[in-house]
Amino acid sequence: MVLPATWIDHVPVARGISSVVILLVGTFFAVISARLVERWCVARYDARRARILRRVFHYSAMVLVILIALDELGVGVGVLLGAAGILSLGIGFASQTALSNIISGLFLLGEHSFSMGDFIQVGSLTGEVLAIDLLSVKLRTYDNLYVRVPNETLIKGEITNLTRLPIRRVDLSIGVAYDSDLGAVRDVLLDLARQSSLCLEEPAPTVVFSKFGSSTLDLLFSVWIRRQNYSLAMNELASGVIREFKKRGIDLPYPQQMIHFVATDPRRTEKDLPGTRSGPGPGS
Amino acid sequence: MSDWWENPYGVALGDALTLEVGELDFVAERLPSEWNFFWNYRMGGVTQPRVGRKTAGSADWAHWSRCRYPFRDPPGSLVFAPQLADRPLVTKPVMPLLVPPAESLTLWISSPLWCRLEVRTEDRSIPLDLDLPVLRFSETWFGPDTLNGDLAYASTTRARMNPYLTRDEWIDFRIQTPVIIHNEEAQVIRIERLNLPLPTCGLYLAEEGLITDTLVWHRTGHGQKASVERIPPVRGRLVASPRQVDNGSILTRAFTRLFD
Repeated sequence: MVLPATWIDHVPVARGISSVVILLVGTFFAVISARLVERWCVARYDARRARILRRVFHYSAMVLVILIALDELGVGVGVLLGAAGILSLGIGFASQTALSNIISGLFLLGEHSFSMGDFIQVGSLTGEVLAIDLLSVKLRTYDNLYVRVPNETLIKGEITNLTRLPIRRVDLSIGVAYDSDLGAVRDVLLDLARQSSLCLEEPAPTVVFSKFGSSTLDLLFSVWIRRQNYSLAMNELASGVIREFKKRGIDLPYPQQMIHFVATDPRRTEKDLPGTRSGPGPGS
Repeated sequence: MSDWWENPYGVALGDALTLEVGELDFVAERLPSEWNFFWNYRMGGVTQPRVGRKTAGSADWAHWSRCRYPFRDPPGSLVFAPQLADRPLVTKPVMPLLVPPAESLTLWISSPLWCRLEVRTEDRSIPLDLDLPVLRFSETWFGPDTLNGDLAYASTTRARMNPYLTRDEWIDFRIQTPVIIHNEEAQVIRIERLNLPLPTCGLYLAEEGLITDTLVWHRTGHGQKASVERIPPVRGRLVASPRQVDNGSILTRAFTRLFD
């Protein structure tokens, strides 16, 4: 049986060998140069950007090496690129979500909104960033759950980076009784902040009247703390407020409803009670 | 007792060395295979340094903050190596200070001593990572806004012009930083806050007591940037090297944010 001749039968052995050599040497240089690019980026940017740039550089270099090797073999690269274009169009339609995630990942990379080890809040999720990849970001939540968030979700939504800045404000909403002396309440709260080792002196703590509530005068007590002390400060301030208010007789009232009972003549009917309309209406 | 921080204290096995200084109460217990350290900050009032000895294992300090360092053979003596604060100190003059034009002045700003524990054998000294201030500090933010700036310790100062402290001014655990300000501008400078970059200063024992490098600040005006220098004292023995190496940027940042 005679096998049909293929293009490979017409390739001289020498060109085959040189093509393999191009492939091997090219791969070697692609790996080395990608590592150099990563090292250069680490020195200037951060590990995350460096890793992604290394990958991008490595894959681009490998594509170039493969094209040169194929060209050496005598394969028509132009035809191949045309076919690859049509193929990539098909793949593009089929993998829109993946591509969207990759492009979103590149935008996130450029924005540098967060980095590995930061604590971020995305929608209802809060957690530590474990990895930032081309398609998704991996988070570990406070209750130790591993969550994968697609880059597209991150780019579309709101991200709060909880660890970007070293200090943050803690707000406590406090309602005191209507007969309280607001000046005295303010002094107590500011003293509490001054005595706490967790509260920063600058920016200074503030007490601001916020509204006349249904049962209380509502105040907003704000102090600045180091971000690591958030939970500690919330607990310390809450217990401090209760302790100091109790000591100084400042009431923290429960929600209350005041009902006025009006003594009425039992012989009067419901329609005679104040506030009820009796007799014919104005239009009659 | 100005050398309380320099002398090594021998502690026998099963004994405890106690130190009261400033607001700090400190106990070091030497046990057969470890050193145990306990510390607590007293409320209200400061004390001059007082070293004492007790038996290890007392319940008096059982509830304090504590840590232990195991050793195959615990070294026999302990040193309270003096240190400057581990962060910058932002201090506000009690009265606003206004420096007239063409005037130079030297302010002496105090900061409390920190003690870094070291245990010693006959031939070597082993620094431990226990580093305690003798007074508690509150913290503050120093910067133009809440995005840019640094965390620092906060204090108030009388900004004295005289370096010599009296006995009741806690000379035994206070460190003084001389700040020289040259106002070569045609207008008054108002000093509302001073940021001392203490971690980048050396600590010296001099005639005036414990002092740091001198910080010299020239303000020349005419749109020129202020120049800042750090100069070691002419006479004085270095007792602690700076905690951080500064290439000049920390010092410049500290002072350029000083004045509006």
